[in-house]
Amino acid sequence: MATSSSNVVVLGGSGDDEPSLLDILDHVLNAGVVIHGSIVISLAGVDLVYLGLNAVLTSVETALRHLESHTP
Amino acid sequence: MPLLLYFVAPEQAPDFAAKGVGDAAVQYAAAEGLRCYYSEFAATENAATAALQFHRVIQQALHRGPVIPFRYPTVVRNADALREPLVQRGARFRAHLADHAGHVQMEVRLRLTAQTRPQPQTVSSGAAYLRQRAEAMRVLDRAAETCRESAPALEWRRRDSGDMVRCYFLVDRTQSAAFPDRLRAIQLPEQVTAIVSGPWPPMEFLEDEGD
Repeated sequence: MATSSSNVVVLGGSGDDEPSLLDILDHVLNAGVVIHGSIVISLAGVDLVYLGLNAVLTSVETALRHLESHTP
Repeated sequence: MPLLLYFVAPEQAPDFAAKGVGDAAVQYAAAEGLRCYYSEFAATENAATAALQFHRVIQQALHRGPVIPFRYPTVVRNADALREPLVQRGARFRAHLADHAGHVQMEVRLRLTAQTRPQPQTVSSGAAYLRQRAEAMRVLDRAAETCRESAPALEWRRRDSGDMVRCYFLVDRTQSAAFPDRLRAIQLPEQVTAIVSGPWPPMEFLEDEGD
């Protein structure tokens, strides 16, 4: 049985639910151009952009520490 | 110094000043008739906050004109490296930005409500669970078709993700504010929840170059 719009949630805009952190992370981590090749900073040979959510959120800092420790 | 890439915009894009991740100034490098926006990237204590800052930069830029965002986080070694995607894909980017200068993407995520989602532990057999799941997908399919037929859009795309259907609508910028109200007027099955978000850059409509 169809119902009215009570099961439609709108994120953003005045009077509506704000996008949650998860909604935003889901978008910025899954959408957008992906760069292939050597210009992408890798950690242990794995391109950062291909790692999953949790790994990406921690690996960026790890990768930077790795870079900084190897910079003369 | 590592550089975090935010988005690509046309060479004639309006001037844009913003603070990005870690409050670093967002700058741009120009090549191939395009601008690639970036900031100096430093380790942050809170990666989730950094992603939110990235998101806000993209939204600010989208409000001013067409953009092609990079997936977060795309970090390159130096300024020479950030020009490489512009050289490699400049024609494709320019075409997309020109074709969709007046467009944005609205998204609708369709899911079954928690009470109606198939639960393996509540059925008597694996076959029964699969039948329930197949019926659940038929309900979502009907909901997706209802959205597609009823929502005003120039183009439509769909992606299935587990027990969720993601619908992407290409709409004129001037219609994005009215889009949610059009969705609210649609009669969806009571077993389905629809979450509407946007506007986003129309990345689902960036033509695949086949690589």
